[in-house]
Amino acid sequence: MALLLVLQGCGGGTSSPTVEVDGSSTVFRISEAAREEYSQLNPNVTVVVDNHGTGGGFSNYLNGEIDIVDASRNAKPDEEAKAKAQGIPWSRFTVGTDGITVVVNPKNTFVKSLTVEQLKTIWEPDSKVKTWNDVDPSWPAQPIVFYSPDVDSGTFEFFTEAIIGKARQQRDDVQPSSDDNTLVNGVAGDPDGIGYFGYAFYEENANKLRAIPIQPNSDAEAVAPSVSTILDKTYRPLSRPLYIFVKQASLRKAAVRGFVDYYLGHLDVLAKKGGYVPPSPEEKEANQKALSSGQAVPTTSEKDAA
Amino acid sequence: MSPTETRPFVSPDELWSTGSPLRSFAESAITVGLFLCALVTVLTTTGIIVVLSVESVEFFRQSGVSLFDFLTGTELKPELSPPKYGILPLVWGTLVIAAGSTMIALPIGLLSAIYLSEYAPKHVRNLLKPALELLAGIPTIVYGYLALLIVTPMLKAIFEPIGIRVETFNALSACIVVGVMIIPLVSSLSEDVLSAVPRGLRESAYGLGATKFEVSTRIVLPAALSGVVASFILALSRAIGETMAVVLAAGMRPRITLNPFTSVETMTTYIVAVTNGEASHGSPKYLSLFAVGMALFVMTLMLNILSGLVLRRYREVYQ
Amino acid sequence: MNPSIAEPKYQPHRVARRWAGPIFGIACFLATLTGVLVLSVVLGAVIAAALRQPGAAPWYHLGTNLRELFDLLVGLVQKPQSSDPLRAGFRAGVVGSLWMLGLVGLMAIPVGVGAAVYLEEYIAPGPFRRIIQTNIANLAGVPSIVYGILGLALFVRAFGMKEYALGRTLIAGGLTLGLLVLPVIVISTQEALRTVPNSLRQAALALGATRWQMVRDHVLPAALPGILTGTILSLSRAIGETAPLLMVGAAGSIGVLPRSPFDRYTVLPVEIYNYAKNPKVQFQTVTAGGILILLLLLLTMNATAIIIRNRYARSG
Repeated sequence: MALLLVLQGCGGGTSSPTVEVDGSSTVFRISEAAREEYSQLNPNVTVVVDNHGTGGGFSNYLNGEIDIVDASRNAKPDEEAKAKAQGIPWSRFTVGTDGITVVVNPKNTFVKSLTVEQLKTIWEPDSKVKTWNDVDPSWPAQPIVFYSPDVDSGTFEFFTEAIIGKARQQRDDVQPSSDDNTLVNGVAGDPDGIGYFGYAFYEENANKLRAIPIQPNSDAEAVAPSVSTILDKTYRPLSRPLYIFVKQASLRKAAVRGFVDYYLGHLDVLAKKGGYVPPSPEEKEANQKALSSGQAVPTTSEKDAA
Repeated sequence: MSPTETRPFVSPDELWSTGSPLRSFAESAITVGLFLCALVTVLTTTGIIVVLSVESVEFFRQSGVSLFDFLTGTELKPELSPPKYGILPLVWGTLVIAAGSTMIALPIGLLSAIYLSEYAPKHVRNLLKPALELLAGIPTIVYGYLALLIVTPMLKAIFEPIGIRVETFNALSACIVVGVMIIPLVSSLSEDVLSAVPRGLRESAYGLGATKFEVSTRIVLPAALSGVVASFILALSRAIGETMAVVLAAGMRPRITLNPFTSVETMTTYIVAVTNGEASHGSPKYLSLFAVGMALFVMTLMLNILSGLVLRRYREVYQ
Repeated sequence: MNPSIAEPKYQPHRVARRWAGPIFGIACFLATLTGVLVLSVVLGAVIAAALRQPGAAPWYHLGTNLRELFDLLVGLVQKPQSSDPLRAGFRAGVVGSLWMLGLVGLMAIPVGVGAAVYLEEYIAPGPFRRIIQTNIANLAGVPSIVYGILGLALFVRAFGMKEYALGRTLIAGGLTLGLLVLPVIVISTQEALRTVPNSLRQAALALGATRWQMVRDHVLPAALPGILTGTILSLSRAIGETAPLLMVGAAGSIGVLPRSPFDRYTVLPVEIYNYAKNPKVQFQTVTAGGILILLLLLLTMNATAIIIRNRYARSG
């Protein structure tokens, strides 16, 4: 008991300068690569990266516990308002792009491409689609098995907003999982399966899955996801930018500044290590501008936040 | 069975008549120290209740869901507007997993314990008991992957040829895997209690012509019953509170169904999903996890109070 | 009296009784075997996953495979975390888990045994004791993630009082896990204390021992095997926990090893969990290797405690 009280008296913390990063498990892989490379160059700076989810990252940021938020979505208006109100504004930088890939089993040879409209009818809540035949009469009448990230995933939120138009609304009878590798195994083992997840998971398992080219609307062509189509944004609408939000006050600390400089200067290598496509040259320029000006990049999204 | 029921209670003061003030001081200090240890458990419960209640109240305030709807609602769809926060599907999922896993673990655990204490030769027991205890130490995520990669394919291979569709995430897998995980709780603790039954009791039964089966089930087991039941309750509590294995094995679809081959969601997996998810902290969806946690706490409390009442009628005292 | 005309209740039922025993014995044996069987399946699957290299020797070449497995595990323990599967290992996690084990044992075992001793030896049975007992039994069933929530609010953030907050340090994690395993230690210690016959206690008291002397020198040693069982089971659980530690600050990715209880850290199950979520296929092998390291750690821990337990076991 006495021991406990004594221990309570000493606050915690590592001895060397520390950079605390937390947030999305998607962006985690890029930040982790950055930590690894940076620590080799600068072993006396301790970088710690956590993955409590984008919401968790922002919450911890607003509690004053971290310097950088990894985010697979833009900040919500109330999150930004709270940050400003507490006097800890941030700067937003783009660190990579992810293309959400819709996959089917390789034995499924009849689905050549899907339009956004078709995807919507397949995945929307109360959907009438039960078999492949319901989507396109020329396809067989096999029942479809749906694999999807779970309702708390950033991928899920983005997909539903982009395809169905309302965030987090999706049909009920899916097989959800928080682990994307499980979804990979699910579709790979099920000839009637259809699922979606980040591009890296498709790329690593390209021999077990077949990616479906997406047609944004009836005039455009169907575009298959690949590094180049995600980079030049022709793979639409399922390309999403990945961000980090850095506390401006922390940027004045040498340790954090050094890390962020390194991070933004090596995005080509780091994003790739994380399994993502690096940001476009324009996005990189915007990063450098934000870094040097020290101004907060306007972070509320153009459409209403979900 | 507890000896403390017949032991005359002697207060610490009366225990010693001669002795230095130092010894008396040390004795009191130790008593206080031990009391503080017991107090830690009470403080833990207080802490949990405080944290859960404060946020639960905030949840009900922010979301506008009434307590009645929360407790009796059968739909859990936070994404709808207005959102539906009915907890019954989660309660059902928890009960299904708890019942299924204890149905597996209790018989196997008890029979193993009887085997280890009554039938097994000493060196076999010394080998098998630690082996079973190792089952308790396998990380729960390994059990989850075990369910996905071995148990579910096995279930599919058995049941799909006869026409039953087995989903990738199903409750039966979770029950099997959680059941295996809690076997050591029952077997090791029961075996300890069974072994501690005095040999004299067994010898006198053999002397009267009882067979080994009769001695094990009619003499030894009743004598050790309270310890065995304590291990049962510990195992059941663990099954109710199990999280990671169920997340990976049973999926996350909150619904009330009798089909074991389909996915369910329990109260614990809901809490984990919301904690690690993308909901912003402070939103009603996030706060709902505290309300669910509170409900779980109350549920297990009622279970324990009930079993305490039942147990007190069946204690057997022996000396 | 002729047995065949006696009431059914008093007939010897010799045949049935003769067979009931062996059949029951076989049932018990099979039950025990089920547990061991599952253990072997799990180990086999994990080892197979760890060794999955193209062109490897067939599985019955035990010598080659064991040697390869050994090299793999030794390598993994020494390598730090990395996003490159060839460079990735569990160095930070192993060190963190060992630290955690030490901290949890140091804090939970004395408090747990102390509480059990107080409840069994120092209080009269009655409503007060029953309430605390029910409370402890209830705590044993609280899901681990609720302890994570409590640990976050109490130890990491100290309900907002920054001067007392421990932050996301090893000690905060150790305290959280300590609370988690405390109920199991208390319950199993209590059961162990109950198996000590009253005659032992009364003999000590009759010779003039104080209550604490009786407990320390007579009751505790007699109950030690049972206490150790509970301790083993609870520490095994603590070392495999993921969810609560994620909440109180086990890092997802960290490069330095903790040097004091006030440093940031990570533990083996959290590292395994993160590696398992990585898309790169080679990480599956790394993950399996990590699981094996964790199991070996457990085995060593259990074996040590069991040796101690056997040394003190009563023969009666």
